[in-house]
Parts: sequence; structure tokens; C-alpha cells
Amino acid sequence: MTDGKKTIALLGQPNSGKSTLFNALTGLKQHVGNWPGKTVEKKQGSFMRNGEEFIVTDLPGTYSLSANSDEEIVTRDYISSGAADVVCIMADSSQLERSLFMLSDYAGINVPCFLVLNLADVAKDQGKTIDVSGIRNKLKIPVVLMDATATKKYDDFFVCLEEAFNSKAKLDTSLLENRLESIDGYKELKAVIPDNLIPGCSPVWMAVKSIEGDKVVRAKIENSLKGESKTAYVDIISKFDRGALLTGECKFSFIDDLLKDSVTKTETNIKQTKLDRAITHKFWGKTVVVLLVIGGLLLSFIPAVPLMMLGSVFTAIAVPVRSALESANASPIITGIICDVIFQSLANTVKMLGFAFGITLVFGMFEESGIMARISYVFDNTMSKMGLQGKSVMPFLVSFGCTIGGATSSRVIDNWGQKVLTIALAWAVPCGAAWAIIPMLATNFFGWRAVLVIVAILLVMLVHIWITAKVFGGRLVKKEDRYGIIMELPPYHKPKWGALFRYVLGRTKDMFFRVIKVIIPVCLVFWILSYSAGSIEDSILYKVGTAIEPVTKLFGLNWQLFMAFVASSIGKEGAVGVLTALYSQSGTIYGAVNGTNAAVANSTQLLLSNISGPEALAFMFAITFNVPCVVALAATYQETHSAKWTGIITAYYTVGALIISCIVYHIGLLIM
Amino acid sequence: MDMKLLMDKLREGEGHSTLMLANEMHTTVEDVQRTLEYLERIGVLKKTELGKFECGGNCSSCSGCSSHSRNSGKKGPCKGCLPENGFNNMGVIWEVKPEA
Repeated sequence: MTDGKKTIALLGQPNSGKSTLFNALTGLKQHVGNWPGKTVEKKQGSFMRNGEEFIVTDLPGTYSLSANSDEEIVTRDYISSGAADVVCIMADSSQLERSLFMLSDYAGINVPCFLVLNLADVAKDQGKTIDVSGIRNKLKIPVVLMDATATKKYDDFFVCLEEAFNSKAKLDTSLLENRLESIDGYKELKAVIPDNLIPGCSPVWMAVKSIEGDKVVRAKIENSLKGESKTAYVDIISKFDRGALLTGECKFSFIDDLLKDSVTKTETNIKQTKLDRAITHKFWGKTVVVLLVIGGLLLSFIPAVPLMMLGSVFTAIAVPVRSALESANASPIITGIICDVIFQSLANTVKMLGFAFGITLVFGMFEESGIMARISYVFDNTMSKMGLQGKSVMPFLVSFGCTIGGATSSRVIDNWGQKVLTIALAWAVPCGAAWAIIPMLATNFFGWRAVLVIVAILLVMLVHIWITAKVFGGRLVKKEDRYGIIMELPPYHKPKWGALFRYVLGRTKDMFFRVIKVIIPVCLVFWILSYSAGSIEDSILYKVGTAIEPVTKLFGLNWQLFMAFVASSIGKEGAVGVLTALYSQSGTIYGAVNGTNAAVANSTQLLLSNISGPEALAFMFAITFNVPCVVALAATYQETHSAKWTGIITAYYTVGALIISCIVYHIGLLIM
Repeated sequence: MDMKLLMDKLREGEGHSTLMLANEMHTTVEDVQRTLEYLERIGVLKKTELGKFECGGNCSSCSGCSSHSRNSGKKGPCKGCLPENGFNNMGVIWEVKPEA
């Protein structure tokens, strides 16, 4: 009681409706400041009722009365100081199992209180019926069910408030104690703590906080106890390891006991949908997921088709432009640069964008709809076996878009070894540029069978990840670093199409500028290196290429493809730049190899007539599993802070890509 | 819900969904969810929202990020990196903190 005024403290978890009640009670009669010595907001106000003035203190919204934060310390110090005559404990009726935790943490504090079950309307909408008198009888304090937003229906609240002041009822802890007594050592601990050792707090509350390892409470008790009591106290509390798990269980059981027979609700058992049952099936889950991904990739071809056609327009335009330039007696170099470098680069870029658009859209749909979360879940056990944390899913998923992002997002992994391993494995995930180039090349070479190529790449990716984990896992991750996860699978829902399309278009636009910045310079450089006004043997590239070809053939790559493979280390798009330069219509390399220059209509046909199926297949696998790009390499160094591991991973992927290329080439020879 | 048993399950390295865990431990999903929240609050578990992965918005290779930063003066992911407010339906992961 302050100067004859009655003081109420509002206590509750965030979103329990404290502020709504505070504003409704005090209206404009409130002021905001800070708690002494803290940057925690202090809100106080007042209201008049039946000629009496009431002071209301809105305590900070906290989940418990432990000493984990300034807010919690301020809250419990205020309550135990006795400044409030009555504490109004607020709980959200729509989720009492969670929100009554504050009440369970308050149990044992000797300050009169009453319970407000707020959000009654939401609970009603959920089909819940709450027996207030049942709860009241168990707690022995006034209880009211209300909706704090309905300011004209506060009569029951005021009746409850008045009763709390008159009865000075304190929360009955017997129900909670029934549970606490199951903890070994609780009774002995309670027995050595005298009442009111900390003002306002009972031995029950102090014993619970001691078990939980609350340093402030333990220190206060230890400093106050003497002799045998102190020794006994120290001895008992030293036996509790992770005591908060034990008291937490008791508090939740207390809440369940409290709500038993007092809250009834329409049975809404959450059951798995058919899709969820299939996806999370122990044996078939992975198969279903793989089929889903393949289906998604097939779907992504649909939006790619129009852009493929648009890309061909640039090739078609190059024909009359070339004729016009030749008619105008333009320099062959200028004609070559315009028609072969610029037009062909544009054509290939636009064709690639079709697939980039399709795949980003499909994967975006998976992510927004909740399917991707299930995919992550299905592969969690596999990742755990590889020594990775559940969070490693994230860098993998991001790497489907961009390996740089994948490396950067590994920042959420705290363990250094797991982070390096995650990045090393994320490099095996084909990035957005690979998903643009590979379908385009595969469609050019294999038509509808491009789908099979994509599936094969996905399978090789999984094997690659598995082998890489085996190679590096032992050195980077200790067995004891491996923990399981629990995943809260989100409900399925329709994607927000507007946001999704803005994202997909934004990403496609970004991809266009990024690709064009790489393709045109690389294409120009290789075109110049391959250009020769006289004999083809004079061109630098031809000389180097033919010299190294005996070696490159070992990997199933002719020297032109090998050059493209090397360029793909800068960025996957670089490979297309090289192919565009070397297999352009006026390119002298093509002429040198084939003896003719104008036999075929466009670069696609030139590719088909110069590269065999097994070579094309080997090349696609080689660039997919090569080093992602130089920026990804820099991002890897930035995240791992290890030049040694960045170097090891780079060398591993370069050699690995060539080995894969060699294997695929020989398999190709057998099946084609 | 037996929290020590839950922790032991996590330490075994197996992945669980909240629904699966509720079935295995003969309880409700709500009970599992409140227990996970509690374990996070006492510092035993770490919660990660999967769709909220970070993009610093300063990708030197991303024209979207650089132009977004230039035009708005704000650092943050452009539309090309993430949809507005990230992916909203990627689920939540709970895992044991290494020191726990």
C-alpha cells in the first residue's frame, strides 16, 4: 500500500495482454520511465474505482522469474520487494499449456495474487471450454476469464481484483509440490532453507531456483546459511546437473494437472497428410523426395521453352546482320566479333536464363509451399551420418541457387570443422549457373533425354557428397560433435505468388547481368586467341590446344572442351563463352577442324557435329563438379579463414571433376 | 514429457519431426512445442528458422544487391537473393547446443 493507494503489478509472458489491460485500466493516467540502473522500460499508471485510487505497474513481459535477463531480474526483485499489494498474473487462454508457465514459476512467492485468463474470445473460437471455478479451487486464488480488449466488460475483473485485495490469497503450491517431491533431494533441500530467507519467497520457490542453478538465489542462500545447514545446502545442490530439466518437467506436469478436467476442447488431433506420410516414411521417404525433385526439374523445363525460342532469335538475327556486314565490306574481325561473340553470347545467355527462371520458380514454389522443409527433413539423418548438423541443410539449399551464398550461410554453424565440411560438400551442389548451362547443353545434345542427364547429375551429386564427407569428415568432425535435430515441419500452404514472381524475376535479371559479364569477355578473349588471318596453325589457341590434347583426351575432353572446362573455374558461364568462341560460324578453329566454314547453320549444329555424345556428357559432368567459381573460392576462404583448407577443397574438386569426366566418358562410350 | 529422454534422443543423432516425437513419447505436439521452447530458454537447445538464412546484401558479384544498396542506401538482400522477408515456410530446426 502506497500512501493509502492500492498497488497492482501486472505479470505475464509477452503477448499475454498485459499492455492491453494496463492501457484499459489507466487510460491516459500513465507514465513511462526506466527501472533504476537498468535500460528496462518501467510503465506505471493509476485509476479510480469506488473512490479508491489504484496504482498499476506493468512489469516487463518475461517468460519466467529466473535471472536470465535484466527484465527477469527487475520483475522478480520488484515482486519480492513487496512494493505491490497484489500481483495480477496474466495468461493466454488460447494456449494455457504454454502461458501458465509464468504462474508455475511464481508458485512459492508469498505475495497475494490472482489469475487473469485473457483472450477468452480466441479460446472460445478454438472450441475450448474453461472451467474457471475448477482452476480456482486448485490454486486457491481468485481467477477470472476475460477478454482484455472488451473494455466494457470488466465487471468480473473488478470483482476478482476486489476479492484478491480483501482475501490476500496466496497461490497454493501443494499441486506443484506433489510433482517436485519426485525430484531426488528436493525435500532435503527445502528442509534446510528457512522461510523468508529471501523476502517474499517461500522455501519451495528458493529450493526450485536452487535446483535450477539460479546463481543469485544460490548466493543469497549460501551467504545467509551457516554451519551444518550451509554444508547440507551446498552438498545437496552440488548433486543437481541440469536441474532446470527436472523442475521444468514438474512445472509442465503441474500445469497439466491444473488444466485436467478444467479445460475441454474439440479434439483436433494433428494427423499426417498422405504426402507427409509418404515423405517421412522410413524406407520410401527418400525415393518420394527424389521423385518430387525430378518432377520439379521436369516442370522447370516448361517455362524454359519460350526463352529457348527467344534465344534462337538472336542466332537468326545474326545471319542477315552477317550478310549485311559482308556486303558492306566490313572487316572480318568486326563481323566475327559482332555476329559470333556478341550475338552468340546473347543467344546462349537468353537460352540459359530460361532454365534459370524455371528452376528458381520451381524451387521457390517448393520452399514457399513447405515441400522443401520436408526434403530437408528426409535428408537430415543422412547428414547426421556424415557428421553434419541439421542446419547444414541451409547452405546446401542456398547452394542450389549460388555457392557463394551457400558458403556465406554456413556462418550459422558454430563448429568450425562442421562449417568447413559443410562448405566442402556444398561445392558439390550444382549452382544456379550450372542449372542454367547444363539443361541447355543437355537439351541441345540429347533432346528429351536431357532429363536423364539431369537425374544422373543429381545422383552423382549425392554420391559425390557422400564420398567427400568420407574423405574430409574424419579430419574435420569428431563423433561427439554430432547431434540430432527436431524439426517443426510447417503446414502446407499456397505460395505468395506476387512475392515469388518478384523474387524469380529479380534473380533471373541478376543472372542475366552476371552471365553476360562473364560470357562476353571470355568469349572475346578465346575468339581473339583462336583467330588467325592466315594459317590456322598460327593461332595461339590451336598450338596450345593440340599440344595438350593427348592428355585432355584421357578425361574424355577434346582440347576445346578442356579449355571450356578451365574457363568454368572462373564461372560456369565461362565455359559457354569458350564454346561460343571456338564453335562460331567464322571461327577458324572450326574451319581448321572441319575443313569448311559455312556448312552448318548455327553454333548448336556446329557443336553437335563436332562433339560426340560421350564427350558432351563427360564435359557436362566435368563443369558441373568443377570448382564453382572464383568468387565462391574467395567466400570459402572468408568463412573458413583457412588458406590450407580452401586450397585442399579447390584441388580436390578440380581433380575430382576430371576423374568424374573420365568415368562418365567411358560409360558414355559403352551406352551410346 | 521426460526432458532427459528427449535430450538423449537428440544426442543419438537421429532427426525427428515434432509430430513423430509426440507419437514416440506418447504426448501431444503442443507438449513437445512448449518443451522445446523451454529448453531453448534455458539455453539447452538452439532454434533456427530455416527460411531466414542471412544474405548480407553486399554480394560483390550480385548486381541486384549492389544496385539495391546504391538506390535505397540500405544494406540488405535484393529481390534476386531472397523473396521479401525470406522464405516463410521452411520450418524450424531445434538442435542441442554444443556446450549443453
